[in-house]
Amino acid sequence: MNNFIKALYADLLHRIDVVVSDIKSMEHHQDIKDRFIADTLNQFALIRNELQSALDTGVLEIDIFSGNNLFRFNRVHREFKAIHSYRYLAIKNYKEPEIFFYQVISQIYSEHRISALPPIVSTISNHDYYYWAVPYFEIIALPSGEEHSLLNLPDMYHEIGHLLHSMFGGKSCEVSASVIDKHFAKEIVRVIDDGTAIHFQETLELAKYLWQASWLEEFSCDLVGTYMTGASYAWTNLKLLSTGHGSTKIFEYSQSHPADEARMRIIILMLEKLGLTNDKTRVETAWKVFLKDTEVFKPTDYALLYPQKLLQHIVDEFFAFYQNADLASHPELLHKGVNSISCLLNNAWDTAQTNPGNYFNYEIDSINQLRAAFGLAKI
Amino acid sequence: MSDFSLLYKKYNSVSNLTNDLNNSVITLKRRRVSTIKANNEKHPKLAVTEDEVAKANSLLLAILSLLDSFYKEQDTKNELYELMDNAMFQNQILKNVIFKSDITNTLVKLKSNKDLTEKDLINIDKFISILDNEAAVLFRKLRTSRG
Repeated sequence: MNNFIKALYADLLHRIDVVVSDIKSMEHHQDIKDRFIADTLNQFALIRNELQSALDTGVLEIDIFSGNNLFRFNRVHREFKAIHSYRYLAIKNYKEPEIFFYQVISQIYSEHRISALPPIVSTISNHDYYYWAVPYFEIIALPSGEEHSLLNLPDMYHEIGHLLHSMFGGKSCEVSASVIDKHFAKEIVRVIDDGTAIHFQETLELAKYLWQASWLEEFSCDLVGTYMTGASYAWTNLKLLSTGHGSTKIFEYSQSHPADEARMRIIILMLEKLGLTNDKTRVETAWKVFLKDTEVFKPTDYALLYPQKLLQHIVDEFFAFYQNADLASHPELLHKGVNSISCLLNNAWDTAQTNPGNYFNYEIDSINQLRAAFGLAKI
Repeated sequence: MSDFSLLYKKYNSVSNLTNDLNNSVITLKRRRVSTIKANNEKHPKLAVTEDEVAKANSLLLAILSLLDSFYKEQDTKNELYELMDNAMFQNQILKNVIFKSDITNTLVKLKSNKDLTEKDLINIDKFISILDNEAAVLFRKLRTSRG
């Protein structure tokens, strides 16, 4: 067994060396040359040292360590696969779209005064996997070909929201987290006292857990999107839930995401908080049409899950935190007359809705103007 | 709007727990085998320092206390709550009365700074095995659940 485990370690060491050698032999664009490449090589070096150190100490030679050596191998192997899939692949794939998106995200960070280095944006995703982000890998992934479109781009701000949530350690909704936890604890006591626990306690226990595990972060990312891009985020969200789920499923929630109905409600609350009254009315009017006839699909216990007062609490705390952190909102950029990416996205949604026949030309022209401003060739 | 971020967070949490436990057990086993002259002569780097042993004991105490708390109350804020859907965790850790009693005894020894026996370490290895299994499950989901 020991020889077999040593073979596993040797194989993985070789794989790491091959990938590291490949990265070192490539010409890298200046956007990723220093930080992203150096960090990736460092991550490979850390797992390589761990394997080499195990070989050097002699623990691979002694039977009582067999299980522990395998557990270590399994974890390091997973680390290797993760770095390979989410960093090495992004490095290999760093081409024209990535160069364009790095310019876009750098401008977004600058416009909203986000004092952090922007992540790498890679088009290694597709339309099924859509947009995703992992703070640890400093990467936002978008579907291949996304550089030709504007109407999904507000969702990149949602992914930026995940990075900001990690950067701020969840402090933008810290008080809300506690308020929500107490609310559900009280609700559980209430249903036990009034004899309805058999119907509602399980749902409330699950909701109490999911609010803390994932829902609150997702809501805060929706608020980042709305705070920074205004109504365009609401339209993109409506597009996503219309095409992805449809009106029959807007009350369904998952381990990772709260129900779409509640997400639209919190987005509308943020539009109101931002003073974007006309935008709020337009979005709300469209949303009410969408909501027509959905009541029959609403589960009986749904009203317990996302009380309006909790959503309002999150919005108020988030807004105060972001203002205090001096992060620029979409209305601020609008009032200052900044030709921002968020204004471009709002114009894109306005044009697509008021003049759909001309939208194709508008979108190409807008993207080419943006590319020209970045010193990039037309598409 | 991605399941990926949540899954990665869960995976990372379970993976870190596994790693801390495994490294701690390796350290305590290294101390044990390095006292055997033949091993020490053949593998002089096997020996560990007292600081490394103290760190290993401290990590084991923290993680087994987490498990002990979870036995008492299955709090959603406990890191081990991530494993509630894992059948092996349910059957072999939570519902296994003998294992629970053994872990409680191990925890008593750690709290009173007593050396752990081979049996203690074998029990912790069982727990690591289940955590490693859950980490593998979460990692597989990670690869298919972006979006």
